[in-house]
Amino acid sequence: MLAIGHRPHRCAVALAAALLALLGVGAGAAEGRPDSELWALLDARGYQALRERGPAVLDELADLYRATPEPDERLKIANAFYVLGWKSEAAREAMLADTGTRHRDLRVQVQWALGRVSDDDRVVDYLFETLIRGDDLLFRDKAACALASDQIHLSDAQRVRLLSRVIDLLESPEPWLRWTAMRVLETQTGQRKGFLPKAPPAERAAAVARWRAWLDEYRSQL
Amino acid sequence: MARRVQVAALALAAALAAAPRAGGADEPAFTTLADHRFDAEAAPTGPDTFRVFEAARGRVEVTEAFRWSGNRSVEIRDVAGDGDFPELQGYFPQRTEGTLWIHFALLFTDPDERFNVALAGPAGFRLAADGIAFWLTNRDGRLAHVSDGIPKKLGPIVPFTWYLVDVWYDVDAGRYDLAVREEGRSETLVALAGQPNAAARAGSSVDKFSFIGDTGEDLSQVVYYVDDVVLGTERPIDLAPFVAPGRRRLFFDTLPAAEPEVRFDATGRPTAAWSEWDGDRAARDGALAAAEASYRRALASGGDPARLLLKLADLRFLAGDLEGERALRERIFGSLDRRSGPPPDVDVDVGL
Repeated sequence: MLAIGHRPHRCAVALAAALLALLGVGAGAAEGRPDSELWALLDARGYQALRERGPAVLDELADLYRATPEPDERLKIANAFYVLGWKSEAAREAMLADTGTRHRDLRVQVQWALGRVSDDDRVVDYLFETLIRGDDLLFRDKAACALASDQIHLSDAQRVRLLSRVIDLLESPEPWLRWTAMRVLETQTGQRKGFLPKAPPAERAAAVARWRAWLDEYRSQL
Repeated sequence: MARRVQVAALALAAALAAAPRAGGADEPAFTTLADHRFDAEAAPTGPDTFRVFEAARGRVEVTEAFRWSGNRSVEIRDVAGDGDFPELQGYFPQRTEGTLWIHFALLFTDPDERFNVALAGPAGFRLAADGIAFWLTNRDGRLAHVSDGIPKKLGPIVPFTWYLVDVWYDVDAGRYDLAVREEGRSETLVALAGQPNAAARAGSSVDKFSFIGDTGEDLSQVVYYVDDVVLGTERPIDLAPFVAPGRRRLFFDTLPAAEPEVRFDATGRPTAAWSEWDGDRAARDGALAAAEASYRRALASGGDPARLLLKLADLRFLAGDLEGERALRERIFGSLDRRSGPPPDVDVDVGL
């Protein structure tokens, strides 16, 4: 069957658009606010119009983010960072300030968006810290999603570093973490290499050895 | 350099000779699944040929500036920071078993600007079963292929030089042989056998190919040229003939509307779903005017504009209005040939 309009490269962006609706980011009144033109676009989710301004718009949005105390408003900007997906130090620095926010929707969106604006090992480390030691399963799960799908600007060497840490997690004593690590690897590579999170330890160890051999080959190609 | 003429038969023969394959009198028949030379009349876009994406500032268009064979190739030009990537995406009958051969020629202006070429299945361009099977890209100025999920570097890229790529993909085994030859060199640049496909998945089927810049990072400024995209299989396949430009079946046959349970809305007007279904029925009966009226009613009622424009393109074709057909079809599938001029007014404005 012909699939009109299907363009698989774009699945992440399409997913983001769907998530915006789930997060319930509603339109607000832009009038009367400083930078009302930008706010009007953010309120209306006018990402195409933002995109047409080019990557420089990220600096404007980062300034706006820092100047905005309201988490719900920052959430709109973080959504834009995610959808635009351009690398920006200003956007990364602005959002790093919210990696510990208590606003759940903003925290999740920041976790997702950071990788789409940066190639920073600190971001990857933050996501691993959240995944491994976070006290909220939602944040842990969404950190895994971010590691799996949103680190779009990493170099091959940085990707090897990320994958090495994920493979280490296959040996976690926590079954959920083993399962999550397997899912991250599957998203990144399309494979499981026979790893089953609840298999007997010897079987798991054999699969982990296969993953480590694979990683050695990946590293040899850098 | 880069203006050589190579006839198709020679390219095929050279490609076959370059690969380690069994031969002999009992060699199975070869079926050509797609053959895009981009010469003379630009091939019509469509669901059984290819689609052109130019949503931002990037471009995909035929050019006489460079060609490997004939007199034209396709230029793919990505623009960094424009929020999108241009794409030439092609289609062929899904192969779920046997061996698929794909041949194409590439010429790069800057070896460091990222490009990606992929052969994929119905799961699309991702690493998964029925996802990407073959993936050619570049790293540090060198060709690279992604095998077993790992980008593996191949030979260096010389700018403004044609590279001829041949892949024999064994669908059942999920492995491929790869040969790359460089214009002006007698020896084969790359000759690899039994490489795991991109996700190391046996049985991963394929039905599409794609030529793009980067994969969404929006950093690539690549300008490269594609010529002689040919796909075939050793299995004999009865391919249906093209019944209209770019398609082996008409859209009202491939995109049939399901008969809706609700025919009228609260105000008593026909629903979009009902109008489209009614249009399909009329089209199949040859009642072109009635079908067009139904499709237009469906459009006005909020029906899917892409499906309906394509079905209107069918009607224009059946009525002998080839320009009208082209204009409607190319609003969805795009065009390689800007020289053909802007599409004529077809009196259908759905804001696409």
